[in-house]
Amino acid sequence: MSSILILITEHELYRFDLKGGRRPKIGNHWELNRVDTDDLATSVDKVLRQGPKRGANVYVLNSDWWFGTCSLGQDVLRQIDQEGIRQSLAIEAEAVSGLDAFESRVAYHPVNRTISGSDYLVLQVPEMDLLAIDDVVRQWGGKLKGLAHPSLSTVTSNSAGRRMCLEAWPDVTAVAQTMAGAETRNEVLPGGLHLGSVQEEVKQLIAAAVEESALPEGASGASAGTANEWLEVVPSGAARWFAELGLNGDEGVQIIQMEEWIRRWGEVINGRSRTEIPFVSPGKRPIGNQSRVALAALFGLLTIVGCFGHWLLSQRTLQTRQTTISGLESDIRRFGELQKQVTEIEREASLSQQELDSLSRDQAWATITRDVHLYRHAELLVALAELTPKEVLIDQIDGEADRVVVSGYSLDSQNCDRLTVKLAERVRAFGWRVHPCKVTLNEKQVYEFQIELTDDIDTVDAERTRAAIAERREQGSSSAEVNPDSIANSNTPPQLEGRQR
Amino acid sequence: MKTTKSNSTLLVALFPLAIILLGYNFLFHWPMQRELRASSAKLENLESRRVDKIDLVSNEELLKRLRREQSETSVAIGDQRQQLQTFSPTALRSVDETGIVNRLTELFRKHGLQMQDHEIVSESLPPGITKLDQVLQQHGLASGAPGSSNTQGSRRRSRPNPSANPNNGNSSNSTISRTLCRFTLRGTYGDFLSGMEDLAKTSPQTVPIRLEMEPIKFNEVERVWILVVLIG
Repeated sequence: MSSILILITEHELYRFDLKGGRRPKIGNHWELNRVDTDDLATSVDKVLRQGPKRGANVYVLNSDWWFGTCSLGQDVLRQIDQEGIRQSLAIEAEAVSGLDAFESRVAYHPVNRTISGSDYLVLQVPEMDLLAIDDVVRQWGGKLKGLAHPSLSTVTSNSAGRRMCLEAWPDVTAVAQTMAGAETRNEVLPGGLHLGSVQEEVKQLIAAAVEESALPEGASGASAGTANEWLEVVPSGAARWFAELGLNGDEGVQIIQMEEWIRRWGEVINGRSRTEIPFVSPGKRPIGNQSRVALAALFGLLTIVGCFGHWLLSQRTLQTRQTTISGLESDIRRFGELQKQVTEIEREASLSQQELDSLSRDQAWATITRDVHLYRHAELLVALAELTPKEVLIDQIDGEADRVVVSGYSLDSQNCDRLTVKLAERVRAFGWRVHPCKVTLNEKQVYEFQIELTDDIDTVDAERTRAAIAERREQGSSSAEVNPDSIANSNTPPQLEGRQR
Repeated sequence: MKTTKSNSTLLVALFPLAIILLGYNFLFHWPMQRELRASSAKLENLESRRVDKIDLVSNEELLKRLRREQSETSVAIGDQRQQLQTFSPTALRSVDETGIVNRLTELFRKHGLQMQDHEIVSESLPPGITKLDQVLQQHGLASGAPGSSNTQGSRRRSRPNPSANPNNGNSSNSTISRTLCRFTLRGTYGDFLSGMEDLAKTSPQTVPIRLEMEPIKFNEVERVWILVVLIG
């Protein structure tokens, strides 16, 4: 970033545009006459606007500001910090400059430290000037970097060889001395070189310097070609005073030209030796109302954006969570439905199985029941044919739905009983219960008997009945060969024939 | 003084921020946090009841297997019902009762028996048949409603014997109507016996339920037989 140096003297205003780094070059420069009625800020504004507008660091040098030496005792220094030193120096300077310590800004640099205390170079700038110039520079588009007194720029710690520089300003006369490799010794004398006291002091300083450095005779101005090697004077206007001091400008003093002087200031502000020169910096300005509003709006906007982002993030988290929840709920619901269906179908299966068992059982029972009814009468007839002895006549069979009565005649009652027992054993599998034989002896001395069979299908043994029916089926044709009619006809005993008819 | 000023500037700048934050908190953040907390709790609860996909798949497979088994059971039930249906009079409804009588007449004649008479009668049924009808009713197979027969002429239908089964009336709304036919035959003992056996083998649906054998007359070998048969 380029720099602009504004120099304000008693009657002139200068603007120098500096280019380059540690050894800057002077670019364009402008010069105006200073109007007495203009305040400092107006003067700065005028001279700034002479050149093109571009962002630059602006330094303002003004010889009007108070610049001098103040001392602080060691006892005071022990009790205060840097800010305390600044405030103490402001109060010290107030006594000399007349500027209120609380309405001014102070910059300082120590120049001499002793056991009893320290001397400081102090620059005091009215706060009002600082703020006004800062405003002007900002409005113009630059950045105010520092305010300084124009003196003390030309001798720096890295100056080669023995140097002594005297800067004569209307209210200040600054003397800087340095030996090669030694620290620079600065001294600021209050008052211009036109003052006799200042001249006397300067004279003594030069004499002391001459003596100290064992300069050849005439170095005080008599001998040509000696003093000009080490004594420099700024500005050129001060040359006339040197004549009064016995120094010849042509022989003993090197007059520093404006261009060289500005170049040296350029080196100072670019950091080569700035720390030795007190600068008042504007510091951070309080924010204006418009800026406050803008800042507040910016913060608000950022906050809204942040909140919106946070809300979106939360919303996304919530949506993700809700998606997970709905998935889990769906799984659980599906699982519940499946379990319910499983339970339901298991219940139905149980019922179906019961129904199937019942149907199977009933079907088996129905089959047996039907087969029993199909074969029971045939079996009864076969049994009677096979079991009835020759002494017994089966005469009649009466039947009802649940009852059969076999009637007949016998010569012997025991035959009836035997027939009954055998018949009961034979037809039990077909659901007949054979009751005891009822036997009566008639007037012809023939036994009449009745064998009652009642339906007892509920008590049949299914397996036995099934086997009996199967046997009945197989033996059907063979049983047909039995001729039971012979029992009732040809084989009827003679005693029974009459009764039979 | 400068510090105070910059602090106030900061406060002024931060004031709308605070208002916005408060508004956001009240209107959006806290409700959202409540929802998030609620959803988090719900999620934890659901996670504890989490159902593995394996469980779901195994349940679905179990359900399929059960449905298949249920279907097989239903088919078996259908088969059983169909078999049981053969004991219902409806099994004979499709056959002309006159045809059955003629067929039985022919059967008896084949075995040397003379058909003297036959008629549709109403008689009590044996307990076994009554119970069979009850079983059919229980399984909803009592569809032999009166009037469904195509037998012509006067008909008398048997009713289950109330005395034989006192609960009969309550077992089902529909009752089974059986058709009984009484045959009067003449023939020898052997002819009748072979006829009965043939009847049992060839006509399982025509069930004899009552038999009477009348006394034989002197010097005769044939006697009169009365046979009541369930023909439907």
